[in-house]
Amino acid sequence: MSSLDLLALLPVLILALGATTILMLGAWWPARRPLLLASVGLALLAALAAGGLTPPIPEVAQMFSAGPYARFFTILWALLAALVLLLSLRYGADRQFPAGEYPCLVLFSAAGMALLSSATSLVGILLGLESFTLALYILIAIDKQGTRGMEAGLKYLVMGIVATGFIGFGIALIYCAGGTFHLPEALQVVASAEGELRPLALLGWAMLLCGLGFKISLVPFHLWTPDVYQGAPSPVTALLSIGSKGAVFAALLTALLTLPETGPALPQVLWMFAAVTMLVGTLCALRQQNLKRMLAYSSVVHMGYLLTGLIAGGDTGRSAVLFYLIAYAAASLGAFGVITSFALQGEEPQDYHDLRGLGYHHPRRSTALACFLISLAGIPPMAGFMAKFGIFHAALRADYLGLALIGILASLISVYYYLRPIIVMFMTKERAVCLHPGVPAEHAVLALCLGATLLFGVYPGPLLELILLVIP
Amino acid sequence: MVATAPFPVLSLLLALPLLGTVGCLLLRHRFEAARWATLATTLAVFVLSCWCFTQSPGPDGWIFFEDYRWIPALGARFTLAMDGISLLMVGLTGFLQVVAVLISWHRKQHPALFYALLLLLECGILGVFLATDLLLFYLFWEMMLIPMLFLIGIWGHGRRVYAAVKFFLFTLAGSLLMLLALLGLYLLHGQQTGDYTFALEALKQTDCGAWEPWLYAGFMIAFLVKVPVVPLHTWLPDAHTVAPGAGSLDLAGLLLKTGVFGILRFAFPLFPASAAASLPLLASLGLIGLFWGAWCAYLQTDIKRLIAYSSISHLGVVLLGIAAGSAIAMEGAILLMVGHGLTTGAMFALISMLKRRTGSRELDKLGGLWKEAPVLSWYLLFFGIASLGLPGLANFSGEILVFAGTFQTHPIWSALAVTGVVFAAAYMLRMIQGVLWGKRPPGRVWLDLSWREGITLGVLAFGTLWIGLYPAAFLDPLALPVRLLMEGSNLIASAGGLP
Repeated sequence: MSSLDLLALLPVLILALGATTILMLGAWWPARRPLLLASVGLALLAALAAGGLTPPIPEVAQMFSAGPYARFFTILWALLAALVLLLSLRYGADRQFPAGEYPCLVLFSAAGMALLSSATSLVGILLGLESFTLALYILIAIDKQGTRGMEAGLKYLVMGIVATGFIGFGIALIYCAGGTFHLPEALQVVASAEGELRPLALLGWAMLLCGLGFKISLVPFHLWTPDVYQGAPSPVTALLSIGSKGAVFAALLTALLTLPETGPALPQVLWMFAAVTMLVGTLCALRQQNLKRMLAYSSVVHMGYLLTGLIAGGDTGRSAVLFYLIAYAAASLGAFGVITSFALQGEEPQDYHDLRGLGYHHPRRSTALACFLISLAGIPPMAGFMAKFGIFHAALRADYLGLALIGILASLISVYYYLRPIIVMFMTKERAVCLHPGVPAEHAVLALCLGATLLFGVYPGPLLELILLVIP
Repeated sequence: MVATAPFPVLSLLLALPLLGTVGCLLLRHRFEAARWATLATTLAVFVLSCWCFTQSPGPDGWIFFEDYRWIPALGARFTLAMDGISLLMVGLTGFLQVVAVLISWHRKQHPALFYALLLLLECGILGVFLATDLLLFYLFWEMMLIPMLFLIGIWGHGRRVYAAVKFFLFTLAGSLLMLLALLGLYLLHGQQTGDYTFALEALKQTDCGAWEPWLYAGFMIAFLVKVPVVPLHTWLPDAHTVAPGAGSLDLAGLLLKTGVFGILRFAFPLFPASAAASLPLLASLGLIGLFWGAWCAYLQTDIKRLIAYSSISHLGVVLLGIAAGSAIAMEGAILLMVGHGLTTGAMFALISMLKRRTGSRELDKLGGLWKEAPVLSWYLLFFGIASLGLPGLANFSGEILVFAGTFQTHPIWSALAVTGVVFAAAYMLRMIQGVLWGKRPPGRVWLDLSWREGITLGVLAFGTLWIGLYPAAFLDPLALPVRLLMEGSNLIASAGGLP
């Protein structure tokens, strides 16, 4: 590995080495607040490095890209880590999170997400995926005071290991059939493999997609999602729902870049996945009485929309996926951020029952939560509308009228379950609630998310232009 | 194309209510100030819209036109335009919003939030009337939903959440179909010309081929749910029954009009062939609505529900007017929308005043109002007979034009529709009789109007008389846009209406 390679990987190195330093520091000097703020600084530094430095080489070791697309996602995940850490400032202190380990793991997972998003080979995908999944195994169960966290951690661990097995075996089969790890050549194996090798290639891709399907909780691999979302501490849930899923999508976008040239097999399977994911996720979300479980199923539905954009492909589809990811990230981080900021001594108000009349006791944060939910439902003037609009646009342009219709149906039904928490907050009898008023760091993160949600909803032009610059 | 204004008047019309919303939210602990700020904002919008009446349109019908860069990546622009039709609708919006603020002057529960939502709603409605970029139009179209949902859901009575969600889901279902149709049209136009744009004028040139009926249906369902036509109307009585006074006023006075306006501004010009083919269907839907609404209104005991059904009936006449294929009928239909906005708005204002005094809206618990509160009763009588179409008052001018215009093209349907007026007289007189005369139920003393209520109703009565006695002032700006619309959509050339 040359110095040029290292320079190209600098933002990821800042995250990883910084995380190690924080871990070491934490062992001797376990001061929670300074370490956490230092980690925020490190994440911002990494984002700055990714944005400011032009990498000298386009690809590192035939595994990771260093192009604008990779840098875009590195900035995104570094910022996400910074915001998640800021959200954990009070929450982590309340719950006695380990001083060094917690920020260290968040930074590590951001590094893993950045690697995964920039992967240009199957090995890169596996490496990136495993590095942040390992961090998340611990993060989900980091709250040792509650039992739900342990349960969630264990569930994620078991499911994650199965998924890793699938992915590893799938990659081996693909390599066996085509003799390459590099993308997009590895995808072309599906079309080019002949004779006895073709079944191997197809099986390999099927297993790889199943494994990735676990990670982004496509139906029918979504069963872990609600339990893990509910049990994990809210800032970690935000990281899980945005970062880990978004990074897998970023990698899939690279991996499936040449999807139309591979014949009808893969698009048909993905079509089924997208349709079933949107419908089943929507129907499951209808029944939920718990905000975090509802958001879990809603994230399942959002994965279906993203997959629709991915299948549609082309510049339109790819930019729609990227825009959707950002709109989803802002709204989702905001929603989990509101739950975090309400948490009082480790108790999060998750049940709709706990939210009654909240709109009048905590008007600002309740309004913000309402805006985030409206954005997730895809109603103007929030960013979620522009995002869904982009997806439908891409689907229709690529002649996937069926998926667009299913998507429209799902978003109509989804309004019902997104409205329920809003109704509970604003339209039920008030009651005396005792929730935390929030600290400035939390308010700042929420304000940022709300600003992004509104801004990209009414004036998405500049962001769309930026996205057109970075898409591969 | 561009008519010059000394300042961006259309953007200002949208910005004022938006600023007012922010102001109200900032002043939420000082509701007295919030109230005056709201009144000032609505008055400013109204004055601005009155000023627009003094301007004359260019040869292509537009009075003002503004165009800014918005989303270049999609080809969407921030384009606002005002012609005679939107001028009338903007004026009506400005006027009714002032009334809405005045009739909710003493709102006790979270007043600042209420006013903020009222202003946000005004912004959405004005945007719908002004936008000529389809994406922008859709944005405003959906922006009307959220404030209305909250207005009904927070300040409603009875089954408010049910009614609010029903309203939301019905309209959203229509809107999402429109979104698909809108995207389909955008892509067809882009594939044909290579120019991906949402501009109304450009999209009018699109050749939709076999898709045209489907796209037209997508747009029409969204608009017809809002109008509402029978059988898509069931959200309306529920929403009206529970909504607070100002919410009902906005719902009947303005939101229903956005549906008809959407048909005139977008559905007809974009898909002329399908529009011409669908006129018989629209006319029959209008007639069904006219009779069904009147019949249901006659059966109601809750006077607010009665007025809600009467709206369905009046909007049936409007629909008949725009489907008749005659310029006179269409002008009459638009005028009737204004008249209906004033009279129904006044009826809802009266009902909320009545409810505050008597505590009931049920016909069998009311009666003998004339002796107790003569001024209030006089106004109820006045707006009641205005609503049923007495000559010299607002609804008559619109209705007679619709009937006369329809008679030229389809005499039988015009004759049928005229009998609808008899039904209107039946339900309206039954209500007036039940409230004003008869035995007064026991209970506390009923006060007559306060000066603020008197002024509110007086201004509405003045508008009603003006339209009734001298409708030319409102018909003049309509002549040119209606003629252009008829020519552009080939509505005159077609057989039109029903056989």
